[in-house]
Amino acid sequence: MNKRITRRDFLKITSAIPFVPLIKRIDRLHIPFPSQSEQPNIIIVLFDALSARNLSLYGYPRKTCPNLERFSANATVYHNHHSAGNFTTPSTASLFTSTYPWTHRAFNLSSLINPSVIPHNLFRELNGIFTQIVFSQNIYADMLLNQFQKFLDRHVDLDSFSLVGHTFYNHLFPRDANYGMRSYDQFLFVREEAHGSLFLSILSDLITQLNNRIASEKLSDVYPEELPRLANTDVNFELDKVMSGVMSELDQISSPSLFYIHLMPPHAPYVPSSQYRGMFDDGWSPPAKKKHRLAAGVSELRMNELRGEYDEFIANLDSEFELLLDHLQNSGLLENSYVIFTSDHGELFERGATGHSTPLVFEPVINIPLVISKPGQTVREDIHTLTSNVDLAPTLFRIAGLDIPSWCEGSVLPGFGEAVDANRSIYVVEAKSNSTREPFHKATLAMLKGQYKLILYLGYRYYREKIELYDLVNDPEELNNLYPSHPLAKEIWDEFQLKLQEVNRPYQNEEVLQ
Amino acid sequence: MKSSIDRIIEKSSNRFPSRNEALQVFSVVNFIVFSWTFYRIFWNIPSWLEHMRIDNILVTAAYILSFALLESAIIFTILYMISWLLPKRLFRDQFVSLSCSVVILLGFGAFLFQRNVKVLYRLSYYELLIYLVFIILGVLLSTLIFSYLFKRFGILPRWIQIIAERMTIFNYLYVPLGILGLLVVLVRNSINLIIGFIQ
Repeated sequence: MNKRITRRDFLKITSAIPFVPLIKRIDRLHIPFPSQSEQPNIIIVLFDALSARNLSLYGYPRKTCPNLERFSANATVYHNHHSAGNFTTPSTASLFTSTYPWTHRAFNLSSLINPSVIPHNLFRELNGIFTQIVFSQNIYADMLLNQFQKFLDRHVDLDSFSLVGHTFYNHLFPRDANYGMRSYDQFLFVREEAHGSLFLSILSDLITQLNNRIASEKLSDVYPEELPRLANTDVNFELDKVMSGVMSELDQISSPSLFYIHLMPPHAPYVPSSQYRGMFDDGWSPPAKKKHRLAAGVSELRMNELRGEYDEFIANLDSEFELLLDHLQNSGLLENSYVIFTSDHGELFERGATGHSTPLVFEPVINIPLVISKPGQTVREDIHTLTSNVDLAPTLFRIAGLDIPSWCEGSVLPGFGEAVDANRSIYVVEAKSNSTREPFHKATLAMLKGQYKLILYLGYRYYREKIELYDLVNDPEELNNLYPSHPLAKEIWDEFQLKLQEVNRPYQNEEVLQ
Repeated sequence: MKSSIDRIIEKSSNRFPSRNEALQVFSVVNFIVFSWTFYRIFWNIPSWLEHMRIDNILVTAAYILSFALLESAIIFTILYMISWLLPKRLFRDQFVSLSCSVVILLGFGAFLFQRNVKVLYRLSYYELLIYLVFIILGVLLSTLIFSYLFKRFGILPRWIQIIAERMTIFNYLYVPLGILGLLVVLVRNSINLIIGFIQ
């Protein structure tokens, strides 16, 4: 049959085009799945740079988190949970994709998830089951979330609920946010570096800083030194305003929802409010550790000062968490939601290193909190099995009743009805100076297996190809390197070497081809 | 007989520089802005290559170059407005030489500032205000000084005009790059908008 399109047909088709966006809206009316009404909500509360080692919940001598302890009384507490990276980009990418940094390749500071891995993420898998809402105050985590934009129902702006300052990318280029961010926020108007814009950036800086000083003056009673700030931006905020904003967002969610909340504190700058400032001027300090060759060489005195400020900021944050917790209880959300409390990485205040911009992967910077409150849970459960943040996505799939996809490198967390492999290894990758298209040649890689932790330092000028092995049960402070003498050292090293060869192989081939 | 509005329009248009003069000044502004932008781009490229593909870098550069064109246009417009606002004898009559001198001076100041930009974050409210006032007064004062010097030593404005004329050649490179960047930005955002609606 030879049927040609007539002018009338053409007009009919074109007149329908304006209704195309409506199809999308109809799709979003959320006609419930058969099991959808039975699904609880999932609320992930992630505090950036919160080390488990500085939480009283995990035995820290300072009382930093009484409210988190209250929350944990009816929740499952994971004592041996680790991040797959020691800073935001690799660790949150691992959380979203359930893959290690050598697979998702987002291990440079502002790198993105490899396009081949993007389809493998928790938002895609849970799309259609949950209304998905995300809010990240961390610019690098927000970049990663932009990659999953098409699976998200609502992406709250990074600078929402802030006090002064703004980011450019989300306002100017909401449809091409990552290029907007790389060009405007990380180049033309980048903070504390020479800007790509010669003239207007200076004007913008002057105006932003003037506004900042006016706001700081107004709030000098609460924040006597400076206002809390989103790292790598000029955006300042008040902790309680942000928490109020989050609570108002929580009030609007429709069941079942997945709400990912990534809050900046207690990331540096550590700015506790006046009420918490000085609360840990107690003269306490942990035993001093020998300076590491790869550390910046910060003095013991300065490290203790910073640790004190960090602890005070955590205590301040914990008091805000109390408000959130009360809100969840009063609104009934705690009853019908999985509330997951975690972090992306920790902070170091030892061996001459502070913060997390370091090639080191000692426990304080990778041991992160994980507390999960299940709907209706009334007793505390403590889990000491080794877990990684690549395990969170498979656990969410299990909660949603989905099969675990084969691409997941993590497994379902203990406490969710699955058999636990106590002998499995988990990994940590720090490779911010390594090209994402090359095999690892400048990186710190760690493998945790049972009670042992093996660390390999690759390509550092004064610490080349060094290996350290620690017994985390008998030496939790990682003071004695057992690698030269321990009988199991060779066996653990051989396993790690095999893994390294396996993950490097695709990139070695690419090098040969080039 | 001319109406008062016609007289105002005629008087105003007399204050604006000719197209050729405007082109020369725009060329100098464009040259300074783009040169700095390219310097920063090339400074950043090694780190971008660590985690970005060439096409990612080109798109990022398109965003940056489109902004550089916009920045040049804004700076040029400010100079154009100054020419309109200030007395004709003070600025308009020496538009090319004065504008170019002020932009070169400001560019040099901005270059020095960019090398030590961290200082800004440590300044108090009043220090910041002083900076802002200092910049504005510095521009006005240098304009007056340059204006005096150019009248006193006729060779100086001629040299600057010669330089400005030479700079126009760079427009043939920088302006198309800026426009190309702008097109890339517009096309990408339009396409993403349409895809967003369809999805």
